Amino acid sequence: MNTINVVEDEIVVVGLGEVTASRDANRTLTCLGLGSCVGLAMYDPVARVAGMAHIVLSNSRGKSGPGSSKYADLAVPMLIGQMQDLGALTSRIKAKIAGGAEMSPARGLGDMFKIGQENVAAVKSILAGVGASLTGSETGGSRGRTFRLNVGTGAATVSSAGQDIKEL
Amino acid sequence: MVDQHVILDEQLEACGDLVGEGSVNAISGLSQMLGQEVQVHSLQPRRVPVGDLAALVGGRESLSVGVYLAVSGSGTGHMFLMFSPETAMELIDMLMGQPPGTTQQLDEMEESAMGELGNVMGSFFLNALADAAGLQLTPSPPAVMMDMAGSILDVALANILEDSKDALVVETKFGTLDRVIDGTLLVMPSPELLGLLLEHLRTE
Repeated sequence: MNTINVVEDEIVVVGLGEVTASRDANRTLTCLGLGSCVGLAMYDPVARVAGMAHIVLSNSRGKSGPGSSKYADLAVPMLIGQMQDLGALTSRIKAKIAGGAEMSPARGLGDMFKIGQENVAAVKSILAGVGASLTGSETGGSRGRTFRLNVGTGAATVSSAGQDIKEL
Repeated sequence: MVDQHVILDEQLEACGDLVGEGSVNAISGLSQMLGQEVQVHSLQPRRVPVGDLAALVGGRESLSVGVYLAVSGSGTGHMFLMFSPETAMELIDMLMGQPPGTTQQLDEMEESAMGELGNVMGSFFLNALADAAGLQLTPSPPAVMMDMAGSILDVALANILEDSKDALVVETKFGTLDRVIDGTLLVMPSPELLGLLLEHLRTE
């Protein structure tokens, strides 16, 4: 008789503006219902260290202090720092991003819904600046997304309402 | 300009009453459109961490239909009318005079009907508030979205998070007597707009 051990993954929700790093193989990090926000998943496959950021805004414009991890320019280095503390090396980190949608064509709402595009552009340029390679992305469009990163395997998936789960 | 951090809970409560008049008027707009009575189940001004706002409408992943209106004029703010997809489709059937169950998805016509509903409720809301406080407030054209609640709210949450970790929100739960229609109206006045309302209350 075969015994199958099913270990339930512990889901860790990375809330609005938060960053979280982990090397607990039973964990799955997740950003729920990303609209204009960008989820950043980073993984060092050698150290098996994972990290996720739920980025809300592109540029801190000099603001700092509690809650500043909501800004792309501060979240990326913060997350890399946390991952390094757990043994990751920036040169080995592979990054994937999801989100940054323009949820509504929003006639008459000006550029308000363009914030997603700004977030994506900011994250991409910051990743390039720190030398982390971007190996997958699922951004733009007008769909909300849930982004998951399995710490044990580094597998990243994206799901949207009414659509199949897609591996990034 | 009033700093949000100096707006006390009792002041928020006082403004909440004024904003509540807007909500009641918006609900009466909905009643008129539907041709049947819609009740306010609960009306509550709150201070909520921005990250917890989606919990008021079922959580970030819960599939919802939302109508968003930006407020401009004497002050700014955000308004969301949120329904479950089933309720939204039920509403659309009522608005378009169709038998229940006719609407199965949101195409252009259905979105337009939801947008019109948001437009009426938003205008009724802002007119009541503007008249009561002597302000000039205008709703933007409505943006209709069907998706996960978190993704619908994101743009407004990002805007609020630029200045503050908390949102001041007036949450109104409403529905028809038979509970076929149940929805939530979320109004998030900016600290500046709340300041203007406080000003009005002081001089009244």
